[in-house]
Amino acid sequence: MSRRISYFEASARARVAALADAGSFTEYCPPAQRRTSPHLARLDAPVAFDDGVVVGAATVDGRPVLIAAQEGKFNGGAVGEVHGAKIRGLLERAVREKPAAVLLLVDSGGVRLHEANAGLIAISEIMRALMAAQAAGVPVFALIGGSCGAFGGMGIVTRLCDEVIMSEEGRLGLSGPEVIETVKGVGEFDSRDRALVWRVTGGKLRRALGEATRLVDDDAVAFRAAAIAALARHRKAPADLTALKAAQAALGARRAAHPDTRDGLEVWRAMGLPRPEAVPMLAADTFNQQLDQLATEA
Amino acid sequence: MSDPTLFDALFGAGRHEVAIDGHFVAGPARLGDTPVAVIGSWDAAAVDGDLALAIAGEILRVVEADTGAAPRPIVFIADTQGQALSRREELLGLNGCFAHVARCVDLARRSGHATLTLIHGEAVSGGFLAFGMLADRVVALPDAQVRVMDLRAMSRVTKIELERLQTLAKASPVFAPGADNYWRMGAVSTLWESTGGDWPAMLTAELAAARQVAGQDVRARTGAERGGRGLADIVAREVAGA
Amino acid sequence: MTTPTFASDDAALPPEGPATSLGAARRPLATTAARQWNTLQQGRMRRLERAAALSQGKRVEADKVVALLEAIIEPGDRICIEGNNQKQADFLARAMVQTDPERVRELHLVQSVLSLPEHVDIIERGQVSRIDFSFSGPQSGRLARLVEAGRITIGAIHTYLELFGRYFVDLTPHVALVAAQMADRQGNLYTGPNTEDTPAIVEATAFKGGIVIAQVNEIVDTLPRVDIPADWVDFTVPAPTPHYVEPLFTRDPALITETQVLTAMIAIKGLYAEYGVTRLNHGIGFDTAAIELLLPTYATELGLKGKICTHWALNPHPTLIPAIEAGFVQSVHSFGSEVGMENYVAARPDVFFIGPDGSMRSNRAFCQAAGHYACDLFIGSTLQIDLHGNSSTATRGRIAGFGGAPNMGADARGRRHASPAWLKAGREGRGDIPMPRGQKLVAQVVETFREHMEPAFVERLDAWDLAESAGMDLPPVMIYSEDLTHIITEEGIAHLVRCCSPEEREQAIRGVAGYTPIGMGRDKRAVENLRDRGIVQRPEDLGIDPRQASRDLLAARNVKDLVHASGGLYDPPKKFRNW
Repeated sequence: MSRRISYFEASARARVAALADAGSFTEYCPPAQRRTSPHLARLDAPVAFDDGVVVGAATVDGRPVLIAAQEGKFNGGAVGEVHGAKIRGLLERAVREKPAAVLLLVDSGGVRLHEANAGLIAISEIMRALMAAQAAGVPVFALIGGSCGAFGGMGIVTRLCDEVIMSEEGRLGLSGPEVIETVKGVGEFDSRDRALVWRVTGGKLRRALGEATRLVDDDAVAFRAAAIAALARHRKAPADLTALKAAQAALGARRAAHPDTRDGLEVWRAMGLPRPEAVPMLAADTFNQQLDQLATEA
Repeated sequence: MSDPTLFDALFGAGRHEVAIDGHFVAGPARLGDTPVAVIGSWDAAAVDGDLALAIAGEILRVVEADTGAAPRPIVFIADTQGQALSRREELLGLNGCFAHVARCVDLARRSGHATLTLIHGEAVSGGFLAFGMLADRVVALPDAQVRVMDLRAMSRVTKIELERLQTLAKASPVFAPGADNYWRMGAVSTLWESTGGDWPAMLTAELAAARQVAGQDVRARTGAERGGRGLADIVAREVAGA
Repeated sequence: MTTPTFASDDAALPPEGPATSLGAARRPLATTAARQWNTLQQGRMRRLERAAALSQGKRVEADKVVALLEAIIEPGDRICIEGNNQKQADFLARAMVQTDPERVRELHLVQSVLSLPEHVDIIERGQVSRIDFSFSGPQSGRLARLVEAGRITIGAIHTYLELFGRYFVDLTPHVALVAAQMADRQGNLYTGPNTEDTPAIVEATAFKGGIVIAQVNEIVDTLPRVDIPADWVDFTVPAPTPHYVEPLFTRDPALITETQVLTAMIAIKGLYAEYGVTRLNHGIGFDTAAIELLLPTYATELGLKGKICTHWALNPHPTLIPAIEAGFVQSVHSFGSEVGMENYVAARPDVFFIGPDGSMRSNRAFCQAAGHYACDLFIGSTLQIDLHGNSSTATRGRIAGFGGAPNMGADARGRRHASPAWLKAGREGRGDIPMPRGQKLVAQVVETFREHMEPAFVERLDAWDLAESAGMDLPPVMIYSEDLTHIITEEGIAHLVRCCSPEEREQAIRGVAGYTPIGMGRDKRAVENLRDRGIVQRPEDLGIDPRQASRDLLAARNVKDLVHASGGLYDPPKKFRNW
């Protein structure tokens, strides 16, 4: 049996190591600088020397990139003042250095509540910096396959990216199922029905809806291959008026097409996938092929 | 219920045609000789995909209408209790709708529209992120509330006692609700503290200030100057290497 | 001949005594009043008559089941409500709680587990005067409080085999409430993969004048096969919901730690390969799940395929799927089944015990016997080990009991067949005695510190305090020192079986106890001497580099991997999914 490196289980640093060309990574604001969160410290909560995010420069398949990787095991990858500033700084560096792309390895539940205001503002700053990088011609790719997924503000940041590479273990959304269940009741969203949670937020639904541009298996090597493919093939789509009007029409059409849909199964069924109930068990490649075939037939 | 006389106070009675449609507000107005566009959410909206698309669509219409002409300033009204919480919205990607709104705000900025947000009532979390926070300048109207989560809920989630959070909130602006906290951290440019002022003149001045900073995100620097956010600017510059 | 104390409070069974001496029985004196020899059958007829109006044939509708129980049960009856750690006669248990305490009272519960809230509710309602059981898991805290308050007397806490044994000696149920998947119209039962305890309970009850009531998920025309014949069953009740089955043996590989990978490597190399263990039973912890998942990878690389772990007494653990698919496993007999494993098991009839109908049959009694007599090794985990090597999962304020582990984790002194692993352990353990004899390998795998930094090694087991507070005759020890041959921790393996004296044994235990107070109290020279003699082995002594102990070694790293390994046949419960 072959051994793969599970992207889901890997730490932020292990993910960076698996994605970047060997030995090519240089970290900015590394742990030695001990940029920890003063706000966590004030609440006697544990701090991390990198504040839960690794940022730096590397090459991927020889192309220069900037990488930020959130550590889901530290406070659920949540964004605080320092954490957010590191990502924003990286995006600002991209405007000047013009790398081939910025890779955001998102693994975050959103804003860090211990410093909620700072986190919320930081995410807004990341959003602006990200769009500035794109306007400067630098594409930004999100990679999602960690245990925290991409939620809250990081779910919005992800959807600003030019490409979204996901595994089916990865989740992408705004409000987590637990929050919805707490506020609206278990009938609205049963967060313990894990299979349902993934059918509503997981990689296969996001790929089917076109939000994830590439679906890969939970394998760091597959993530690297998808990133390389994205780097090689990505053509910058300008966010001009025409493009945004088209996006507006597409989002409206999706809502009209799914007036009552509350389960990914219905999306797969409506798309005409041969066995919608079997989708959760399909390997990423098989699922991609089925979607490609549907796209060709359409 | 949000107060519809707001627009009379801002522009003068008869000088605007802002229409309120449920949780969506939009319409033209004039400040002196300057036409402006008003777009936003209303009455503590739980922002769902339909409202997000309505706001985005309105921004796109303004940008398109002004193509080749002088771009009108856009005044956003942020009046939101946060994002809508529903399984269907999650499934259909509410985050994607918010990202789309953000892109539209950015397009307006790049197309030369001055952007300004007025926080009316409350501005909470995701509903505020989507468009209100992205403007070049943010003004909190009197009694405006800004927050991610109230302290009680925060205490439950973080398992830190409420009394402790309340005590710390007095010294630090980083987690407790309050427009003044956001002012100290640089995310609110100005606090309008009384209803008695000459709002049309104040709004005109704010729009001029917005034009001054257009295209730059000055919030971290402002937050450092006001003593509310010490590290964001330093760390970002360390990483940016500029 | 002494009269056992239990017989004195037993009206239904004829008391034994001098009057029934052999001679008297052969030639009764003409003056003795004619002895009734069928009081049990008479009692049975009496009960059935009272219930006659409630059934149509053997079928009783769900809404009549409380009345049925009230009609059948007499004060003082021994009652068995079937349920083990997997399937539960939950509907009948709920019905018991609704019976009239004035009529259904002074019961003596004789059953494997007290795990449903209802089992303890009946006690709280004052309907029960005595219990004999094996395991109380989730209800252990409530049970302890009832015992301390004097609301209930515990006869004894047994192992499963002991309790089954006593069903046929002195604890035969008067009424057994069992669970089956289906019944046909004659009353035959299909218990299917989760047959578990049903045959033992029904056989004892039906052949000693008792009444058997079965809750069934459905009544059908034709059963897949007959697991319990109709003439051993008195009533079948279609339950409104299928009987509950707990997926107790599913361990999500995603939660296996690298420390557990390390202890699994030590177990495979230092124990399984060292002794050539082919026939074995595993506990249900993550430590043993890690071993199962290292068989297709690490053990295969060591060339151990076909040499170890070929024959098992084990539930269908999902974590065993990769080893089965890799051809490691030749045979598995099971105590029960496991939720979601039915289709996979049915598709591997060479490995599992599958009926002509195509579905598995488990049998806890036989599998326990197999684990005791036919296996060379048991390995499991525990909460506490003392300096002698006694181990216990008992903690203050909880009467949890044993289940089956002590049957597996005890040397089978009645064993008379040899195997290389058994003989090697016997040579090491018994030394130079003139009569050749083997010994079972019994291993405990623990991390030196368990949750909340509680040390796994202690001077005195909490079991002593529990015995005191609950007035028990014996501290509830899971595995006795004399049976324990090996301890494995992240510090290494202690071959206790190779120790020559109690002092050596203590130092060997301290030698793998790491930074716990017990470990810190070791005599360093003595432990180094034990290392030189191969009694304590560190990972490096076994050629294991702890840095290699990575989760990447696991043949499946999450539940989805297990589904893929099964070719899509394994259908895990929802709570184990993340896709």
